This record gives sequence, structure tokens and C-alpha cells, in this order.
Amino acid sequence: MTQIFQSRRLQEYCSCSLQSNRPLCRLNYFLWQVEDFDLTLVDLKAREHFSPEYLAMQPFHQVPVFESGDFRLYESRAIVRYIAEKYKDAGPNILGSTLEEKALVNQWVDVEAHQFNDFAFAPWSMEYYLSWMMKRPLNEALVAPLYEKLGYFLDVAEKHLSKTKYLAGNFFSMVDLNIAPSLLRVSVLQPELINDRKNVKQWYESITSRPAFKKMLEVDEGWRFPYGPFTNEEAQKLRTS
Amino acid sequence: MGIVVLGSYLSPYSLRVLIELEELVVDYELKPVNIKQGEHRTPEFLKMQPFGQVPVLQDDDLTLFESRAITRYLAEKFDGQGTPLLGKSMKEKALVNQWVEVESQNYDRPLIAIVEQVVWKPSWGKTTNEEIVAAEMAKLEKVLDVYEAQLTKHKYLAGDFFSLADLGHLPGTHLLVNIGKKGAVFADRPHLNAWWEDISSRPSFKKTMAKTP
Repeated sequence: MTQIFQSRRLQEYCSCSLQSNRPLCRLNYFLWQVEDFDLTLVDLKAREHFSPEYLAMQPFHQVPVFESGDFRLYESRAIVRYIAEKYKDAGPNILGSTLEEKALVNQWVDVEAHQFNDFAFAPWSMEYYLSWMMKRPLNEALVAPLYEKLGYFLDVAEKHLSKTKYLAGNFFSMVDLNIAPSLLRVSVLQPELINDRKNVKQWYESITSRPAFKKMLEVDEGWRFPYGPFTNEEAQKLRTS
Repeated sequence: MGIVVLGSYLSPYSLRVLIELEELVVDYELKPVNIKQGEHRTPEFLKMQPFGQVPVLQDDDLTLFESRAITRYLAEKFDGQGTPLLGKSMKEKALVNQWVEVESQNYDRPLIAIVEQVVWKPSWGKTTNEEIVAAEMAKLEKVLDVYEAQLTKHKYLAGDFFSLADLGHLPGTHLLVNIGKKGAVFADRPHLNAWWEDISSRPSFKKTMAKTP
């Protein structure tokens, strides 16, 4: 659902490097649904995020940064919440409508952040990226336990998704939005994690076939891996090619 | 039935919720979960919280976990009583959210790594790994420099009002500074130190900590 507003142009400092693809995708994914914006690319490889100009905007030298007029905000989840709140009547309400719905959305946003991303997905996908970029073998001892943790999280999701259509309830919410780009990466690297779980697979297909998600993939040049989704066999071929 | 918190006084994440309940002037019942005996890993507990962590909130039919989700829920539910914690305008709320994320992503990680080494491991009879402490302290100090700069401009993190963002720092920082004796890095930064003195003198914090063993 794309809607263009006549409000001020927004500026979003982002990077297309693989490291920051998640916040980039999460934000673009949502922003394309509700607002025109300018995207300024920050070159992480050239350490542009350590420049004095950038640090004046984001003192933790991280991407992304959101700017609208003289209002500046960082931390991608805070930015998504702000935009979602601002445009909650104009697009899908990804925060939840009632107090309880909002609480469950927030719970799952934090679960995704801690149990999925921090403990499992981020270090796991970083190792794949590094082995690919530095043309060295994958550190199996590192990825094996992380793979287990991913599996555990997705088992929890599988059980949960037998009761509700999306993670936080029967409505598409911020957690589904946040996790979609990461799951796309999972579907390229080890798709059986998704394919072997019936409810997870159905939910994954639903959240990654949304028009805004597809639009994001079209314009995001930062994705070096092919998109997927792949069958287990296709991915195996890609990994060994 | 009222608010029930399943948690532990040993857990800074549980304490975050309890301090907030004091701030909001809300009655609650604490059901202790014995972490040392692994009560958070029993099948009964995992049915409630599949990742085996405290705290868990029960409010009538709602069961909620993740301490920052719980604190957001309580702040919204009890908005209008006790201390306002979320900011007034949309932009203020956004800045509160920004600093809650900063705490979660940038502050908490090195802090908990240090607390594990200097507080928890000794309490389990294990040895502190000083290399880890040094490495994590270096990371934390860089974050504290940013806080110092921010707190030079404003009295509190999200602006000139106490918010959920400041509250979230209380239990972990207490463990680091008061129990772990790593307060020198605060004392070296005058605005950061003044902020810590201010927020840790709040009655909600003192009352909650008085209950801890």
C-alpha cells in the first residue's frame, strides 16, 4: 500500500553495506509505504560514519539517521515507531491499536531484537558475510551453535504462528516488518530453517510478498546475495558453487 | 487480580519493572522466581516465557515479557498517575524511544558483560576475567563520553524531563557502580555523575533497592 504525502521531504542517512542492511531495509520498507524521502548513502567502508560531520548527527557512529526539518532521530526502531505513530491513520497500523495489542507488539519487537537478532542472526550472518568477503572457509564451530539458536527461535515462532497469523497477533506489525529482511537472508543461506516449518514458511511468504518489501528490493543496491527464496537444494548448490 | 511480576531481585531487568511500578504508584505482587535453582528453565515457566527469562508480567488475562516492553505497557496504561515517563509531544516520545534503544543496544551490553565478571561470577565462586573487563570497560567508556556530551546539554537523556530512558539505566548502573565498584568512570565525567546522583536518589529507586537481599 503506497501513499505519497505532500509533506516535507525527509532525509535518511543510510548505508547499503551488508552490515546495515537490516535497519536500512526495515526503514525503507516502511517509509515507502507512507512518505517520500531522500536517501543519502553513508559509506561505512570509507569510515564516513566516523567523520566529525556524521558524529555530530549520530554520536555512536551508527546508521541510520532520520532527519525531518530540524528534527533528528537515530536508532532504527525509534525511527520506525515515530513514523508509525505519525502516520498511523494513513497506512497499516504496525504498532497495534489497543493497549494490549501494543504491548504484545513491543514484546515481540524486543524478542526479535534480543533472541533472534543479537543472540543468533547477527553473528551468524556476519560470519557468512566475512567468509564470503575474505574468501575463507566458514567457521563451522562458530555457526553451529548460532544455527541451533535460530532453530529454537523459529520453533517458538512455529508454535505461536499456529495460533495467530502474524507474530504479535492477527495483524501485520512492526516485528514482522523488522524481521522480514533478516529472514530473506536466512532463506538464501539456510532455507531449510524456514522451509521445514510449515507456519513459519507461510508467514515468511506473506511478509516478503508485500508490495513495499518488493519495492525495497528493487531499489536497494546493497544486496550482494541473490534474493531467493530458494529450495534447500538450490541453496546448497549456491553455497558450494 | 492486579499486577503480578514474576521476577528476581537479582535480575536488573526485573528491578527495572519494580522501580517503575513505584514511580507510577501502582500496587503489585512480586512472585519470586529462583534463578539460582533454575526455576526459570522449568517446563511450567517456559510455557509462559519460552526463552526462560525474567521478568514476566501478569495483568489479568495479559501475560507479557521483555522488560522494556513491560515498562512501556505500564507507562502507557498508568499514564496520568505517578510520574509521566514517556514525554508529552510526539517528538519527545521519539527521543525517549531513541534513548531507550541506546540503553538497550549500546549501554547495556558492555555493562552487563562487566557486571557478569565483577559481580555475578564472584558470587558463584568463579574467577573474574580481567581481560574481558578491560575490553568491555573501554567500550563502555566510549559510550559514557557520548552520554557526558548529551548530559551537558540536557538534565536528562531525552531532554529536560525524567523519562523511561533514564529509569532504564538505574538497576544496571547500580550493579556496576555500587556493587561492582566501577564508579570511577562516572566520577570522571561531571555531568554524567550529576545525572547518576540525581536519578539514584529518587524515592522509587531507594524504596525498591531497600527490598533487595
